[in-house]
Amino acid sequence: MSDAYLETTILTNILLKPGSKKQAAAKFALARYQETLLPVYSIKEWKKGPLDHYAYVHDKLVQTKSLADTLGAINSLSPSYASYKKSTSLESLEAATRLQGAQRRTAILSKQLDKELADRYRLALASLIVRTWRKRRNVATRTIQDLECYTEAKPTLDRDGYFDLKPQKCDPDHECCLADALRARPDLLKKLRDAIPESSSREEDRNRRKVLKQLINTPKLPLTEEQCRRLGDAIFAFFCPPNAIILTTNMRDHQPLAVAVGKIAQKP
Amino acid sequence: MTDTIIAFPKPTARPSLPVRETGVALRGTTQPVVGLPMGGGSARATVQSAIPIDALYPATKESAPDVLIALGLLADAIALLEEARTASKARDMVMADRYVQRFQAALPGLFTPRGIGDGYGVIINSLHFAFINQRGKPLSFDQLTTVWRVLRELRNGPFVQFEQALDYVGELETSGLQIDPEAISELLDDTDDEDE
Repeated sequence: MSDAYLETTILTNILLKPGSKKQAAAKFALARYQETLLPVYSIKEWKKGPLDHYAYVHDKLVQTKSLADTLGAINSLSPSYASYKKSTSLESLEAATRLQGAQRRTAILSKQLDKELADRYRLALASLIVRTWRKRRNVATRTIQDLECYTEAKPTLDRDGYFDLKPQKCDPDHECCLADALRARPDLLKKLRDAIPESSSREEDRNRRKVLKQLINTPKLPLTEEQCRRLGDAIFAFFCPPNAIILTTNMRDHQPLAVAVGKIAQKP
Repeated sequence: MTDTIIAFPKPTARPSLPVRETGVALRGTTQPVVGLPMGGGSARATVQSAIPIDALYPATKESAPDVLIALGLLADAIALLEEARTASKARDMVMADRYVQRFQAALPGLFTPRGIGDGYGVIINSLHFAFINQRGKPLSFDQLTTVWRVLRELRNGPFVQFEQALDYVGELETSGLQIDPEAISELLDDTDDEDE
């Protein structure tokens, strides 16, 4: 296989994890391929998921003007908020702003320092969000498979300093632009459906199976924006070009789907 | 392995949607009344007026303190970087690095008058994290020159807009400096990532 088809986790690791081992591994993996292909579907998922989470943290810093309160607020969110939330310690973020790592302060930060740290991370997040948006189409050698029903609008800051990442969804007035191409290959749809265990207790699996079932059994029903989103990983297996592998860190979900339609999923 | 090529739906022509520009004047980022050289990279810099920045912001009782503090600190910082460049050109790398160390020590002070605007703040903050990520490694001559040039442009136009400031930040990044805090990725969970 000469080409790599980049899934959302790769885009996330390259753009939103600066200086990390994951970023280095993803960049190293890209260099192995003659061509790297980034579908716009990955950009859409990246903007709605990880980028939106960063924007949320940024906005919380704008709101609270305190790093301690921001982390407290994020860590108090229910697990159902999103899979992107992470319990992050104030100490680790504070230590990362020090010119010398050894000079740790006491556990209770002064208000002034807390505000300064909030400003530092607010600016760093705003910078990262805007710059990675600018860079998104340069991550791969080619960005492919534009989505007719999706507008790639850049993140903006409103007058109060909060990020606006709309639109994150496709145009609801039109049917999903992928619907006809999906319906044209019921054989592949059946293979993808069969690759998802009927007994799976994961909501993600159940939803994906349901949408695939609808496309197979009642193809005349329109495919909505929400259903397209629920197809998620199946979209990558379906549309990955035949001479490419799906490059992802999420092998658990992508491998069975890829194998079902005669394709390959690989980790960086 | 399937050899069937699935044709991805080709987009048809659609009426162009109005794109909203950021265009938000963040706190303290209003454009100065007088045409200042606002920077945006040396190639983009256009001097609309020959009025020096110190003439525009003379130190009087009415002067905005943040601007005056920043202008003074930036002048000191630029002078240190000039010394570092001179030493580097003379291949005195230790001396060059000693000047850079002194510049690095001035960065926390430069962040204090960030009320000037987020454009100013994001450049200084990026330099702060760049030095943390350098972990004491000396700057190359090109990096030194980029930092020196960006700060000179910042001093000429401290009210730089946020998006324009990101062009300067991009120049720092292109020079090989890692300007994002590594700890930022700690904010993102890796539930889809099996490496965890």
